[in-house]
Amino acid sequence: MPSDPQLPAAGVPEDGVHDAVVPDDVAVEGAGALAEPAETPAVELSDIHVAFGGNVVLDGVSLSVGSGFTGLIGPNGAGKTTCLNVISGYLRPGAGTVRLGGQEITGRPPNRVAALGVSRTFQAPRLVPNLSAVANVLVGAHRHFRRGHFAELFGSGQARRQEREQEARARDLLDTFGLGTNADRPAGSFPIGSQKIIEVSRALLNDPSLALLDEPAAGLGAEDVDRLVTGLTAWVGRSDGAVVIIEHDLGLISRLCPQVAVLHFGRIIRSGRPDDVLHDDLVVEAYLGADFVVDR
Amino acid sequence: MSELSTRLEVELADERGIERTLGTPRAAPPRRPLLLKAAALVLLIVALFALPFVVNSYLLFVANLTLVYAIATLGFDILVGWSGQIGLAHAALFAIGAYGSTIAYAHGVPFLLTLPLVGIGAALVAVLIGFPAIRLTGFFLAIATLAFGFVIVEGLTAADGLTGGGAGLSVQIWRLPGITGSASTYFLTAAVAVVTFFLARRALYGRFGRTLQTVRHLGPLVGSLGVSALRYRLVAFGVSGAIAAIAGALYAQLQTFIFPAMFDFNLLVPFLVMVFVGGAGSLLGPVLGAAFAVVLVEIFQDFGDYQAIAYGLALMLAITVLRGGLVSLGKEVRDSRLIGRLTGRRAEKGAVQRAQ
Amino acid sequence: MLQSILSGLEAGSWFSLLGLAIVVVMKAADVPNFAMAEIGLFATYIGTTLAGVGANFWLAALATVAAGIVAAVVIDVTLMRRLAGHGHFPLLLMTIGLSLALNALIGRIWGQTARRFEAPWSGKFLTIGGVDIAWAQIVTIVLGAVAAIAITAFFRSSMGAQMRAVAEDRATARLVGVRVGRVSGMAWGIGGAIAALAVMLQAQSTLVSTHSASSLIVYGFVAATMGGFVSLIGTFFGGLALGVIQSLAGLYISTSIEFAVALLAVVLVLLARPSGFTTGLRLRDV
Repeated sequence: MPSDPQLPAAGVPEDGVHDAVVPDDVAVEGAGALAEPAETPAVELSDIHVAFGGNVVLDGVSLSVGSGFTGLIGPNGAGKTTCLNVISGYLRPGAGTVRLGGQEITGRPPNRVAALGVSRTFQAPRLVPNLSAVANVLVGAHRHFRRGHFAELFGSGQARRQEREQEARARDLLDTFGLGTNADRPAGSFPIGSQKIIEVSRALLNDPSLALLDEPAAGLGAEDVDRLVTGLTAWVGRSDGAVVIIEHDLGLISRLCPQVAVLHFGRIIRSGRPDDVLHDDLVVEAYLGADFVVDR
Repeated sequence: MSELSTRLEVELADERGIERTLGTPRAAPPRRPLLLKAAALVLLIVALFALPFVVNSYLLFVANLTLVYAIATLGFDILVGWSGQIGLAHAALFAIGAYGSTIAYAHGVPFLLTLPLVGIGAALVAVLIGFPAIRLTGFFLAIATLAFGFVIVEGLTAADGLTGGGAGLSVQIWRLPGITGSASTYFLTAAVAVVTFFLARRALYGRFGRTLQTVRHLGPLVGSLGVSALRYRLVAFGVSGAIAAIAGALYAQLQTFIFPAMFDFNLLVPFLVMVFVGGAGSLLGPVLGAAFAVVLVEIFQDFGDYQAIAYGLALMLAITVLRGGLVSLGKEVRDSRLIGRLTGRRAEKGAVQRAQ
Repeated sequence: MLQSILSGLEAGSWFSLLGLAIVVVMKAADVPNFAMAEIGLFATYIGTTLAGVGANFWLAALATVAAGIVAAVVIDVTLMRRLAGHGHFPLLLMTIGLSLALNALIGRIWGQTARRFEAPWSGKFLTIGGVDIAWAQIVTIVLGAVAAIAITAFFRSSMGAQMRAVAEDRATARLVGVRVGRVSGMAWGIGGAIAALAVMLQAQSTLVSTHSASSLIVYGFVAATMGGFVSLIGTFFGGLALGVIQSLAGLYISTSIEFAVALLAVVLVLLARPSGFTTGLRLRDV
């Protein structure tokens, strides 16, 4: 694996803060290719550029994600959430394309992207506190309701049936995450860890082909993390969907994700198996600073 | 953090402010035994329609007015409580209903037809108001919609050829076939109230209501669920406008004479009082709020010069004391420490300790 | 047209001053005070009463400002402070109730007839290039600007910084040692003084009454909205603009819809800038 101890060290100030330059001649092994070459990737980013004013946040990000779990890691400010924002339609990139299952979706608004089968969660859970957990989760199935609100108003049989079906799915999903018994309690009465899990359930009720989870385990206790992992694994097993997880808990990432991509200063600097990636010099340097690399 | 995230945070912070001020709707009420519910409902409806035979005409007027206000407040609550948008054009939309129905009826449109007509008309106007205001939140939305509302009422005054201008307009009363006197108007109002509340219940405690609340709480984030915040916000404007207009038409029938000054701030403030004091986000709230406002005015009727002072003071007291509105009064009394001490129960917070 | 602009600036000065009062109290005490105009009216009536029994104009004017401060602080200490924690919407309804009660109370004490606060320069005109300018207008416009500058300067001072800290985050300010209660009281006092000034200036030029107070407050809130409820400059110029637009609308279109036109202009502003004009010294960073 190529590593160049002098390059990062040169021009690096004492305190370890360094310029956002990854030299071109450092080959980034398998950068961005995390899907089997034969199948269509669940989502594919091609050369995404995002800048705010003069501030470049994503600098030519290319990423290909297949089914199952993919971790997206990197130090704070690397642009991970921005990547999710671009995929989910909250941000239009200055350049580059986003392909969902081969279909280009760059620049489409968030609710259209969601209707195509993309779900995402946000760093802070936003639930309706006085509605029950089930009711909150049910909103996630929005695109599955074929009949409009008028039909419900007048009690059409099909509308009623639809509601029952989706409610059963919602309860089922909450069960998978271990929250089934309290599903009818107001969401606001759950501790914050459970609320985050409810939010994840809401995202999954969409039956997405791609779920984007932004630090779903942040602030969760060990039990809740276990619940989360169990539920997610079960869901992925059943639905064969793709899940991209942003996390700082590298242990969790190693446990869950067979593939990991590392984002640093707006570029993917490494990708591959967690074992390889997490011990890579460049990655260590990105997280901990050049001194740690040099000292080894 | 990225500019987008900052902007989202600001919008959400604003929303939290609204949430803090308006309170949140209650979850659907617990499923009581169907027979009990049906019996209670039948009893209520019978009582409602039996009223004209038991009370004098003054009390009937008060009851009628309360029902009209209750309907209007329900519409207001859908906008303010459920969708979380402080749109202050409500009195103006109410006025559109009053004037629209009266003028249409006077020009030969069958009265009952005027109701859905003004409903649709006001819904369109409300959406037109809501659309440009969609980027505004909180106070700014309030002021912008207030401005539109003001312009509408001014417009009604200005179109004096049609509306009689500032001098007012006399309302032709429609009577249910075979019924004379004010009982007819009352029955009409009661019927509309029952239908409106029934439909509202289905909508608000079902998918529409929970989606609307999710739009309110999640703001722009709701797109990630495939929900179009814009669409739901505009629908909320439209529905609240339609309900306001229908209530306005009934108001005109009750008052028999309407003039623009009836629909300005002097009406908007009572609407605000009703929606807040009653308790935003429930079905009983608008009724209690309407009753409160009407009763308050009646009580202080005889205070003469001190009426306004007393009304102001009573208002202040009500708002100070009733944090969640009248509708939460029962719960607040039950949960209060005093009652708890009397019954030896510790006040619960109701947190789910372990999810299992 | 110049005449119109001038009277627009004059009225606009009343609006901006009231708007500034609202913004100060809103941001330092977190209360949208709908009774601000009534406080100003109350204070002004005290002044006119004193003037009526022969007191010197300057004494009466001073008494007015003092009365405004006292009334506002009393309201804060006895009423508003106990309501900390209520959201903006219930507080607004509260202050609406307060304004109704105060308005009626003032009417009981002083009656409903309109009054003026005669100043030494009332009724005197200056003629420049054929245009008659009332001294009252000049005084109003100048005083308005001076007051706005003074307030801005105040907020750059250390006490002002404390007030901005409280506006930004009450809890943290308290932790850092800021006496939040005292700061609130000061904010109310300043608001009361400015409101008294606004109505007093209005009263030297035109008639004021319980009715005029009821409409003035709406203008004040609109001016505050133009400044996004945070910016002093935005509020000040917003108020002036409101006055001028209204005046010109009255001149070129008709007086009956001048308010409507002014409001529509405000709506246009809001559509272009959803949070108002939040430039210059902000009482709080958005």
